[in-house]
Amino acid sequence: MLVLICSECGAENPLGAKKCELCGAPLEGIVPVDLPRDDQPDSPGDEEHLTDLLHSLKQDDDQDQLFDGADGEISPSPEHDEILEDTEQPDDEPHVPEWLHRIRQRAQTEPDSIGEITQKINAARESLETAQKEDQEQQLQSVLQKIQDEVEQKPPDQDPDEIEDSEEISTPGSVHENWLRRIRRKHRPAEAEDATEILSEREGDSLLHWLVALENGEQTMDELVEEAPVDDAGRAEDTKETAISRGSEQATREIILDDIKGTQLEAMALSISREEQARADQLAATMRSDKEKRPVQISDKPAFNRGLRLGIGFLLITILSLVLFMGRPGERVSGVAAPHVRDMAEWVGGLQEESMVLLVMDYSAAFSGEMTLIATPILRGIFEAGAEVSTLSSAPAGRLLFDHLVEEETLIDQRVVTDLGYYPVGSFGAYGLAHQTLPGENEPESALTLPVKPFDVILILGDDYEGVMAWIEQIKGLKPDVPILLLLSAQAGPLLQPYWESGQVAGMISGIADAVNLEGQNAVSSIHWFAYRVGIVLMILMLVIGMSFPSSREPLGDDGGER
Amino acid sequence: MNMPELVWGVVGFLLTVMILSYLIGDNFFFRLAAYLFVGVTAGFLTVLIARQILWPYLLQPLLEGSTYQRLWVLIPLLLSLMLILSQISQLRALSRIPLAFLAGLTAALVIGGAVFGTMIPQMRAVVIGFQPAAWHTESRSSWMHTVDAVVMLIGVIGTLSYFHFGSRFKRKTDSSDLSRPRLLQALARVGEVFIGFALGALFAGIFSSALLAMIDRIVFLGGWIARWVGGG
Amino acid sequence: MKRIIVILTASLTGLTILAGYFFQTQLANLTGLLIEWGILLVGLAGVIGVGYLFKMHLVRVAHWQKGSLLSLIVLVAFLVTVGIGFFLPPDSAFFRNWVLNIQIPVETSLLAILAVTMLFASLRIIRTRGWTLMSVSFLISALISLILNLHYLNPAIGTAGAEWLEFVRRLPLAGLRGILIGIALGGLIVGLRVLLGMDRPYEDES
Repeated sequence: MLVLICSECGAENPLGAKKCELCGAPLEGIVPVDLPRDDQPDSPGDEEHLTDLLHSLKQDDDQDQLFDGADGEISPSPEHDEILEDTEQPDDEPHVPEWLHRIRQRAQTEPDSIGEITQKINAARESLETAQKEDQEQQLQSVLQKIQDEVEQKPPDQDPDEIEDSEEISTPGSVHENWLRRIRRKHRPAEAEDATEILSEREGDSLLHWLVALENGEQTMDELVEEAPVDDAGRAEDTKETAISRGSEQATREIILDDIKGTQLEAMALSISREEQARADQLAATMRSDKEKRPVQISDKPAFNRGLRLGIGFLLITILSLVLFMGRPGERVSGVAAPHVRDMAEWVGGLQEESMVLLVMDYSAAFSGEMTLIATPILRGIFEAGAEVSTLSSAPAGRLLFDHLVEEETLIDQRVVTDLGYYPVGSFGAYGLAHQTLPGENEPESALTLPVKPFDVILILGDDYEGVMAWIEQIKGLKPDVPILLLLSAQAGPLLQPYWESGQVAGMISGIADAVNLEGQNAVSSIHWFAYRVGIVLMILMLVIGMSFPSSREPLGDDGGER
Repeated sequence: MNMPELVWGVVGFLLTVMILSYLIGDNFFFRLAAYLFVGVTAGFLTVLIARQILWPYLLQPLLEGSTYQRLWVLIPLLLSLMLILSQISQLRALSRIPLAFLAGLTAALVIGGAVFGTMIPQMRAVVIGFQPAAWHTESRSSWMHTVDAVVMLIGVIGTLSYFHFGSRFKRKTDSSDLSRPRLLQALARVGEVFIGFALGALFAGIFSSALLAMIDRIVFLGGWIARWVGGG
Repeated sequence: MKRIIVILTASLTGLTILAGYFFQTQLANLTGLLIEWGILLVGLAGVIGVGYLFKMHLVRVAHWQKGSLLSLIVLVAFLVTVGIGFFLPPDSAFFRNWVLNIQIPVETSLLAILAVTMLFASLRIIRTRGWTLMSVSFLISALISLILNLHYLNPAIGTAGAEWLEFVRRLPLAGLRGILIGIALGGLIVGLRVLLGMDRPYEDES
């Protein structure tokens, strides 16, 4: 069946369609592709597009052999004839569609995405094949030996079934089937009865393995053809019969190898999930539309986009500059602080003179400006309470940034703050800290010099969820009684909010929006806050504009085409 | 303004302008600043590791520690040597043991953290949402708490269903449905909505941070320009 | 045999650390030591990585390949930083200024560029992704989060408006919690596979 494959989403469209039915992309200039019909007996149906493709590849090979042979049992479809005429391939060459030929060529020569996938499949296939070959050859040797022994030991009065079997050997068409059935029945009953065992031997039931197995089956046929003697062209056309007529051990080996692999191929009936199906469809579409131009990837207006980006950049900088240097300072935020912010403020307000506070510095220099705005009022409260503060870093520049913050805001002389060092991995640090015994209690002594008292509170200053999450997980998993407070950049806040909701974190402030909401505080520069709000309004406008002019793309259906 | 302040200010000003010039396009000045940053960061990391890790955890106990401490340091010393020697291509296999040690250590910490620090408490929090005793926020009505708890439960299950990518092999003769169960599909669709909500909140957070960084740089640049123009 | 030793090393280390969650006091010394060794090895791996970086740029400069001028800058900056770092005391203000006055402008400016990129991307988000269930919920959530960040909506406590606002504010939490549990599940499975020797990331692929 001739169809048009959309070069953008890979959907199949009927011949003559102007636009893709799924995504609306134009189909002009796309060359029709021949696909097996859904109603063909071998076609598994709509759900298995990649299977279709691979089956069609295999059918192509099979048909070629049949065309070259005496008489084809499978007659090519009219559409197939058309394709053959269009491509005008010489008769002596095996029929390969042009698009497949291009894919193969490209896969071998170019290290691009498709080539890479194919190369990986090839590598995996070779690896599997080598292992299988060795195993199969060993099995074969032992099987042949046993058969030979049996034949030699067979008494003259065999039972009729076996006589029938041995007579059938003389008819080439059924020989290998009976041979194999007998061998399997006697020596590998498990394989004969339930081929799914082979699957269980395969690690990782992934789509890749399945692809490899399918390719493997196809390769077997090719190899058998290649193994046929070169001096006799006729033999290559019908390898099995020729091999059997030779009657040699080599011939038997070929037949059995083919059948064992054939059995594996047969056993590859698998259930694939919707997601895997989607990925397979995507891969298939990519392979099919390889020779098509990909309008999405090649931007039609790169200069316009660059200019637009530059324009937005200058617009943002200009507006922010105007607000920052000509704006109206002194605006105070009214309203109610969020519960997690109130909890934080209460904690800090409750600190006493002898309280032990550990500051975990887990943010990078990129967020120093934001963290200065967020952390300054809290740190001021801690220092004013007279708490004993220690720092521990899980970001390389952690201690330097702390010194910078304290010095810039003239909070306190940083030399009174003990530095407990740097842990390159947050979870190592948290686990080690939670397990650390106090000095003098145990040997061997640790490189970490902890204060005499345990910490009353751990305050984490973080810029990304991963590092902070490691600290929370380890500390709360090992020392659930130690309260944790968080001072976070706005980007880390959302993913760590569930930890406050679950009660693992005693309080948190995330971003300037939380910081300005601290009840009664006025440390956050109001001019920063004003500029921030202008920037946020600009983003809202951009989103609304983006939604209002979503380009020519048609609204997608319920399925969405996302997955 | 003293001399160091002036020098550091000029350095910061130039580097900011060089990096922001990327808005026009990739250029030599942007790369110059980026490479300088790489060099300084690599050097700082070397100094930091030498001072904060190699010295206190390895060299100090070895040189200044007691016999007992020296004995304990022999094992990490051996592991370190294996790691260093494995950089010679003929001795690459030596890295397996220290790397296996690190892999085991990290895997155990990940397991412990995931189970005790996230899975159990977060799942518990979902369930606790249905307990009236846990509704400590007086400002919200009980029906709102109930709705909230139900939405939370559906959202969590839906999100997890969305990321369920299980598949299984079946025999060819098995004619059962090849796709995921319908219930799972429906939950995944619900999960898609909740993941969209979560990603939207993350997007807003990331933009907030980036915007503040932009404001910080503009304040810095403007401050310097004002000082130069104002002469002071 | 060698493989068994390696697998045993990973498994025993991991099991000891895991046991530390249940027997904290009894195993505090042992687990503390293992963690210190781990920190040492991570630090050493970092130094080896820096060494590779240094070598790469050195080779580029030595052969005067393309970009060798920039590589020279990397080398000079590296050597100067290492020199200052080892020569001056650890709490030196000069060393701090040297590092931070380069790191802060560069890193903050890179983050600032992200703001422009996000503004640009927000214009094209529907153009790129189309109208899907996820893109619609994403846009709604992003808009609501941004509007809430402005603090213009501040209904009084106890009113229906405040309740609904709180409900809307908490809506992303469900997805976020699901994502966190998903991450934890993934970590658990990967960790168990490493401890059981099913995955061996420490083995050389070649």
